[in-house]
Amino acid sequence: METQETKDLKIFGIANTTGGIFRDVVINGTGRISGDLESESLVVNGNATIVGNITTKKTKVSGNCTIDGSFACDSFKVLGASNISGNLTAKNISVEGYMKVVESIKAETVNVSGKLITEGDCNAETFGSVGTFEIEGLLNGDKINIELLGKCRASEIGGANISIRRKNTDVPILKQILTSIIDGVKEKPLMQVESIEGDEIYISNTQAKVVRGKHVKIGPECSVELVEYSEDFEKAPDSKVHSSKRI
Amino acid sequence: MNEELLSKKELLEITGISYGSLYRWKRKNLIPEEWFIRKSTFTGQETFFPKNKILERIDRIKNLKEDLSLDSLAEVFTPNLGTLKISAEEISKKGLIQKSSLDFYGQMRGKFKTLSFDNLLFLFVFDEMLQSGNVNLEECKIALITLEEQYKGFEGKNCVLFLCRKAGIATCFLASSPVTIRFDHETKVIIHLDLYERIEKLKIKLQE
Repeated sequence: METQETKDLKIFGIANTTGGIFRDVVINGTGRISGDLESESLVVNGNATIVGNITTKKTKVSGNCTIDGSFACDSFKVLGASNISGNLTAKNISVEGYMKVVESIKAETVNVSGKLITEGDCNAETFGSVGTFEIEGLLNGDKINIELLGKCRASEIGGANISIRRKNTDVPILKQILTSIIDGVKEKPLMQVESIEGDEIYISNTQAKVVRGKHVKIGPECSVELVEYSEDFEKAPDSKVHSSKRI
Repeated sequence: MNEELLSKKELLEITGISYGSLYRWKRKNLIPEEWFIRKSTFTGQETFFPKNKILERIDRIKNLKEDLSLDSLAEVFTPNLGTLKISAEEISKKGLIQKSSLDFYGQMRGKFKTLSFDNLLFLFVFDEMLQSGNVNLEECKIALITLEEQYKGFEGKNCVLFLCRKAGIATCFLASSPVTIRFDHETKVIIHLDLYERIEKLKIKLQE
């Protein structure tokens, strides 16, 4: 059987169109796509509104993209802004700009250097953040590495290896001075979370109600109500731990 | 139904698994979301699990994970029917269905070469009911027809098949699970069968 050749969809000016199956989808102007969309790639440089579910492989959003539906892809790079009203499923997600997901995120790797907001859970084998995030549900990952720049929030964090620390300011002096001025305006690096559960845990600059784990290390500037550990527990002298017990 | 609950801490203690594994299995959908029951306790929010279900599931995961990858395990534990086709030879070779049930099915639906997974599931349930000895052939047929006609509406969700009798007359229905149903004292529930469990059982048998 001959395979049907699929066409590209390119929007340069202002256009309204319907969904369908395409090879490459590029939106440079302002585009509105109504209906489900299936493509090899999706690139948004302008302003896109897509009403429908999307299945694609490679996605890059440099402009502004609003998706009213669920979104599944292989790699997803957000340099601009993305709003997704459904679930997001992807292999690799990189948020360098801003992304909001109303439902849950499921991915192999998630890297945040911008801002990520999700009202549901965030599931990833590896989760790395050097930006800020707000996760209303559970942040679930095998390796969770959070380098705090501003204020981050999650209701729960669970996984095997969890590390939360202040980002190393290993930057040139001029930038340090600049960031210290900006920092004065910006919030202090802080992780706010209800509970953290994992095998290997290191936290600093964190406010938590409960921390449970095998090996628990509490670094500087933490405030934890209860620590439960099964193997060992260490605490930096300037951190507050209300109570701790071995189980 | 009031089930006995088990806290997460107790669960890890009893089974000896780590937080890492528990969260990994949750991510892979090996443990359904509904089993994570949140409750407020004096230490704040805690997660509880239905005791029997979770212990059985973890036991199964531990046993199966040596032979199967986590992803194919997830396939076993999710109630999706998939697009699998199973040939008649494979069914008899694997001994999935008793011969007598196959014959009855053949009489009703004609001889088949291949069965889709959902039809196999219905046949599997039909077989189980028939072999249980509590239900007569006519009633099994009613159940089979009910499944064939009504199961579609439950796909992806768990449902329970009920067969009850009152004054010797049988009726059959499907209900989404978990469900609480009360009957009058004259009604007897003959069959109360969890489809989700049967899907799992069947999938494991097929993987063997």
